[in-house]
Amino acid sequence: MDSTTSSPISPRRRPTGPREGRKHTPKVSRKGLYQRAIRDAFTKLNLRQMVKNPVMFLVWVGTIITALLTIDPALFGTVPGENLRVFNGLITIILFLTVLFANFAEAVAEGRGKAQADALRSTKSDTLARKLLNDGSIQEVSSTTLRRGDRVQVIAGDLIPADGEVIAGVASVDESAITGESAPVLKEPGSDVASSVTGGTRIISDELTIQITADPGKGFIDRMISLVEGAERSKTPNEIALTVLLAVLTLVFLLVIATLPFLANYVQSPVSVAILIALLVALIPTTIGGLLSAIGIAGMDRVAQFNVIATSGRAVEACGDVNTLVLDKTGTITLGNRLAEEFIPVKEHSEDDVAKVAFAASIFDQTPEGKSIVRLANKLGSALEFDWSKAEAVDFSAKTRMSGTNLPHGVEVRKGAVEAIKGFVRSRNGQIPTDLDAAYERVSRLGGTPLAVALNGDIYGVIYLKDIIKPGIKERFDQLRRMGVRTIMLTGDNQITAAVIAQEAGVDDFIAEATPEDKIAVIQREQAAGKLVAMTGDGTNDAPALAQANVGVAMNSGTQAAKEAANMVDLDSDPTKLIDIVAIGKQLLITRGALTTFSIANDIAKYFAIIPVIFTAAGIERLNIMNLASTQSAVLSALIYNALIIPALIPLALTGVKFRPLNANQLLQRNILLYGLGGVVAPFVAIKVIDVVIAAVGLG
Amino acid sequence: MDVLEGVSFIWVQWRRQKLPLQLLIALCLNLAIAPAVYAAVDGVQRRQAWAIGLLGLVTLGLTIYLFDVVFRPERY
Repeated sequence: MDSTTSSPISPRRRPTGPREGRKHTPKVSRKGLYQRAIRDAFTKLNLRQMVKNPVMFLVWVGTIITALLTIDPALFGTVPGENLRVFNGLITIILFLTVLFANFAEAVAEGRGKAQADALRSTKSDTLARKLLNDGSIQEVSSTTLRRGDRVQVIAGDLIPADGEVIAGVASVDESAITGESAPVLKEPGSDVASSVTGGTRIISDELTIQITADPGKGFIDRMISLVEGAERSKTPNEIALTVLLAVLTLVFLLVIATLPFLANYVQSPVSVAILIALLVALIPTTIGGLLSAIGIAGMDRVAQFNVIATSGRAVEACGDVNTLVLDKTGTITLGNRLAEEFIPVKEHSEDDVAKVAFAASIFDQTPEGKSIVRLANKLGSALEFDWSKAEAVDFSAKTRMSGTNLPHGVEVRKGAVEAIKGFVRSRNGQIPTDLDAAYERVSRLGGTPLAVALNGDIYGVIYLKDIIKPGIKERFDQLRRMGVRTIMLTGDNQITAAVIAQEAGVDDFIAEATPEDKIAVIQREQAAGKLVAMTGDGTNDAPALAQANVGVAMNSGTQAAKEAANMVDLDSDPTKLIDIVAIGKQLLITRGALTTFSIANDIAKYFAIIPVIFTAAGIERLNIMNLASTQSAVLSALIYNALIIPALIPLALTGVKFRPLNANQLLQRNILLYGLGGVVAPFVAIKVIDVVIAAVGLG
Repeated sequence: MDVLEGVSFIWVQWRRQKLPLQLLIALCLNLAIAPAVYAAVDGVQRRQAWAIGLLGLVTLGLTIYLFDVVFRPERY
């Protein structure tokens, strides 16, 4: 949220320190990850699971057929050659390992999510809750019996039994179970950001009355568990497109291999079924087929490591395609805690007069901006000159764009956006001072936020709220621009301030004096132009825009409505993280593209390894450019390479290709060179080396 | 019911009623495929003709399966 004035909507806790430092959620134990992955790799051999991966399913069927050929090498007819049983047995083992390695890659990726789910599950326990009955009495019930709308009382030391909204009390809550952040968070009713509590977190001081907002099994932690565990994982559009491509390639190669025996017999060079299966497995894109789901799961895991919960893989993937980022100024581009720097008087008023009125207007304002105004006024010697217990707070709203205090005897003091205060003064039949605009422009040209202060129908002056642009943000926007991502800054500030901040921060476009409705309008406008839009938000009024955006990231400190409308929730409530999430999405797509290129490029070497040696009778031995020792060693070398490349690429699939902020053309050129050319050259070298070893040990 | 509807019906029903399909395949294999292979390939034993016929059916099954993946990828 951003506002021209001291918005009450500001997260209670802003994470500090370098992002890398809090990248990993410390509560997740990775102990036993690999043992579990090995066990799961065998479980996944079940045909019902294998059928989900067409490439590996074909390899698995091939393994079963070669296993039968190991038992009876003449099963499909007599074939020439020696030690056929050993040869077929070796092919069976290699094919089995290929399937196992692919399953292992997926199991390792899933294992990370399961470890996180286990950690979350440990925070969920059936607790006793103090349910408030309609007659005001308290009944102790099990937390699993609580339903939406029930009211409960929690006191210091209690686990909060379910998700809810605070309706009474002020207390500190330890949310480390879900955020990993040990600093307690203040919860109080009526605030947009501090009133929602999560089941499984612990209240550590005072007491709260909570209205339950989620039925059992539908709370935030339950959703997180099912998401990180992959229970709701469905294929993303990109994965579906790639699955179709892999299935088409597999189908084409299957038909080619199925018709080969007729050609082979015609050229008097019969080929055994085991070799045909080996050739088929070598030609189909097993590398990407084996790693495809692992790449997707690992992408979601990387987002989770950044303490962001994505509702689906689709959301993470959409991040990679984002063209436009809609960013709030406050908290995202600037540090967020704007501080009062100066009181600028207008008309005949003095600085002390402005300080006194500003002080009175901010006495109930608990935002950092409001507190800084009180501090500055105190520094200038202002003191309370009325009985504040008889005064009444006037809260800020995005509509009025001002806040203040109603003092006894009908005296009204207000502070807020200059235009809003002008309107207020006119409504009280006051006059607009001629030097107000000069003061307002002076503050705006410094990139600060000007807040006008008024007492009844008289404007006293302008408060200069100093805004500090986050260090390094300009470089981040430069990177995004190079990647083809356009940045739009939304701010409630006036045109001049917005233009100054936009220029200093290096955003591509800005919308000044924005209302919450402008947010959804700008998203719709960009989407109409065919762009994919990402944005962050925390308030209830952000919910429609979060739902409209292709990627909506809600702050964990935000309201329940915002969290439900968004497709990601940032547990650290750091709006700048949107830029990191976009980078992770792009990294996911780049990794998938790079490994697909590598996998398909590999086919060339495998083709030249196997085809010439199985058609020697046809006189094409000159195509044996690698000079492989024999038919058997050529087939085994290609298959061994094919199997080993999967575990060799697991680390790359899990960690992702190193992200570089380049545009699409530069990335394409780089990936074609690295993974395309590399994918052609690497197997030639590797297969030759394996062939030499096989020939040396006498297996070929 | 035309051929396409028949194939579609079998495709839908085979998961629920596997025995008729198994019987049909065994019948086809025994009466059509294996004898055809036996007649077409020189020097092949009856057992091998059966195996080759079965391998052909597996290949056909895989082809149908891959077409299904291509046209209904979201199911996989």
